[in-house]
Amino acid sequence: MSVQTFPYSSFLRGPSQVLPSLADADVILERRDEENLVLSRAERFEAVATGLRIAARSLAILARRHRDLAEEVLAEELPWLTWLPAEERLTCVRELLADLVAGADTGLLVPFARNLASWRSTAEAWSDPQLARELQGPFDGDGPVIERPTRDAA
Amino acid sequence: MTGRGAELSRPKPWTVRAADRQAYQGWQRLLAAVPDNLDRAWVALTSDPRHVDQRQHSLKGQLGMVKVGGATLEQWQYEVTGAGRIWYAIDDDSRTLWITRAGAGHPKQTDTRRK
Repeated sequence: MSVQTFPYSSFLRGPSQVLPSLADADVILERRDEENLVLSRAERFEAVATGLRIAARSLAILARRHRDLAEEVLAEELPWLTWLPAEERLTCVRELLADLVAGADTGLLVPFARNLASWRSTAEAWSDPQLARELQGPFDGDGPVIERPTRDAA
Repeated sequence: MTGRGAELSRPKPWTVRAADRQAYQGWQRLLAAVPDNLDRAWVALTSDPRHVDQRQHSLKGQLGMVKVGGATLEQWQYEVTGAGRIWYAIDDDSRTLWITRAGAGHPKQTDTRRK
């Protein structure tokens, strides 16, 4: 599936420039100070949602019968797990699997996606050993106040 | 209390502070490199420190809680640019956002320090 990107402003000026792209791609509308939007055709949107729901439910069924195997399967999909400390890898996989199972039941996959992003960022921080050491603190809390950067400061 | 046309400041504003000198230096480097992005980051953090989106999220596990000046606080991350990151701790009692580290993400961060 390909994705094309347009500025949100150009979509507002003339949707007819953007809409033809939906024939064979989803469209991301980039907004400067807000979250981007995605435009898709209903059939494609439904297909993704249905496919995801069935895949998540299948994994949920697997997780109920063979938790170890489900964790192993999920872990294989998350190569950045290797950066986490060993004792946190299992916590990560268990949390994400629980979110995925809950999401499969309710259709709410945003908690899963957010937890995934949090763990991924955490793993990225651990990938730099010095950074990870420093982020563990403790910090003195004695640095200066930071004012809002102004655009003409540069 | 305020006269006509007087500037109204934000009620209960967050204060942004560096958690230590190294965090402040990292912030200054980002400021020199990407001032506009850092401005957006500052506004985003002080508007809603616990907002979650693609750029902003809490850290997990050991890195998720950190001590600043004796208080144990949640630690979050904000992606300033593709590689630029701010890590910050949220102190609700003092309405302070402690910048714990700021700089380019891995592996640039280690590179710049070794130079």
